[in-house]
Amino acid sequence: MPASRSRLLLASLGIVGFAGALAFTDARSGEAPDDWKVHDMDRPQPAMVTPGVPGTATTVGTAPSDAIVLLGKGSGLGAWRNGKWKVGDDGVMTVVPGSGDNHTRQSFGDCQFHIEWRVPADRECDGQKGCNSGIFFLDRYEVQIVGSNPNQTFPDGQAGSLFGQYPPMVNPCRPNGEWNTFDIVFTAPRFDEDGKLVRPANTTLLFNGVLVLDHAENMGITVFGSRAKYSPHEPTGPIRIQDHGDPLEFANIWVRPLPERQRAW
Amino acid sequence: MPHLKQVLAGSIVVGLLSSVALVTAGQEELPPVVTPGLPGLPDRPGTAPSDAVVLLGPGTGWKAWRRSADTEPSEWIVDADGIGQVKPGKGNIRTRDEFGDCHIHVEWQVPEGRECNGQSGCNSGVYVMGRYEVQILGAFDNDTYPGGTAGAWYNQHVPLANPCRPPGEWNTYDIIFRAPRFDANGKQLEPPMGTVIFNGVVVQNNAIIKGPTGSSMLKGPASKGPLFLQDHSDPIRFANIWVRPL
Repeated sequence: MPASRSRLLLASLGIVGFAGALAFTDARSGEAPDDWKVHDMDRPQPAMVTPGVPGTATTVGTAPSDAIVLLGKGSGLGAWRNGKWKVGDDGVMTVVPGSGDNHTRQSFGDCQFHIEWRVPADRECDGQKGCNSGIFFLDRYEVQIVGSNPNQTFPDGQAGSLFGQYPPMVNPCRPNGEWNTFDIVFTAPRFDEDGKLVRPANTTLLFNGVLVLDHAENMGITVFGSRAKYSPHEPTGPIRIQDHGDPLEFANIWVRPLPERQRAW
Repeated sequence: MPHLKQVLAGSIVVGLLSSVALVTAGQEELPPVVTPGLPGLPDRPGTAPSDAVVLLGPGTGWKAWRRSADTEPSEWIVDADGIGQVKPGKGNIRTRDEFGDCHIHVEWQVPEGRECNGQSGCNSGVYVMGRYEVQILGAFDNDTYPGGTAGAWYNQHVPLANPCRPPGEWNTYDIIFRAPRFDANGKQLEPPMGTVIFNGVVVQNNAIIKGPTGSSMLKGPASKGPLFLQDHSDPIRFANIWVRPL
């Protein structure tokens, strides 16, 4: 969008955001945290959620009961803009190379995001070629997906990297033909009404249950081959999965929006 | 990674190759390969990643732990499969090792048929650094004060949701903990912070911890400390406990 329009939008969102911050409330209570006594039985109970079944190397998991399901058994591609990607009744979505990236219809800011992904068993991975995709939060901030067992590439471009910024702390990638799980806690960047960065984005990633990014501060919008920088944008945006020309498979994709970061009371 | 054409369209082309060198400079070392563990299921505990410090698993007994009251070994129950259980009255236990910034994984279960009534019957806790408690409580169909339910940073942060499984099923906690930072005079520069993922659901999102939680086992400034498990007189079961220092 043009810069002037973007600034105007940010200015108005900034005001809303400021008002929201003033009226900050506990996650479920609807009242300020300090309004509650310690051990207060009148404080609302946290909502009951039925957890999902965890995914394994050979079986796809399921979503928690309160999640927004973006891909699951029988879900089809309704949550996604690019209907050209393949999806089966089993809830496995496959990139159709050349058809373009795929954006969620809904926009998200701070969230917990879960995805399972697999490189087909017979696929050859050669560095960044052959087995490549990625997840972009707010259409901009990438967590890299690439077949990495075994496959050497530049460390800040391995599976679980913040592409071009941080390598994953370790490499727990499963071999081609097996499912991998990503559990991501993403915090969107905050800009003031002038579009100035107030707080950078950060990304936490559990990759097959192993922590590989620990609140890694995003340096800016993901780019290839140069240092990332920020430029202002809306507080939420679609999540995008990349068509990098490789037929990667995805399953059990869900998101749980998260409230403003918790404070002590 | 972004397509080259996006780069060409959206950024300066000059110096592209040298920038690639810049971005990847100093990162030649590949991340160590780790074999992930099996995820825990309601009817079967999981296993640890290959590089974790295993605190309870098949064949370990409680040897990574000791009684908190003295240095004697833990008297809690444990079998050869690595299923442990609080032996009520035998007191809290603590790890022999100390941990600061870390990822802690714990699986726990309320025995089938056990009655949970508020804070009574099904209560324990994981004390990070002996100071910061993530509450363990049979919270399935059991109302209590929300600051004291399962997944709470006890009496400081109510969990964002309650994904607790019923008695007889295993629950998983993944705790991502950042220790407080102190200066040389013991003044706190940064507070402790903690994320808790409970049965795969984020219930604490990098919550800022105000200080040691009520009934903390240890006090005072420190950059690391042992983990404690609480004997709250209830026969809570544990399995697949591991830590990965960060």
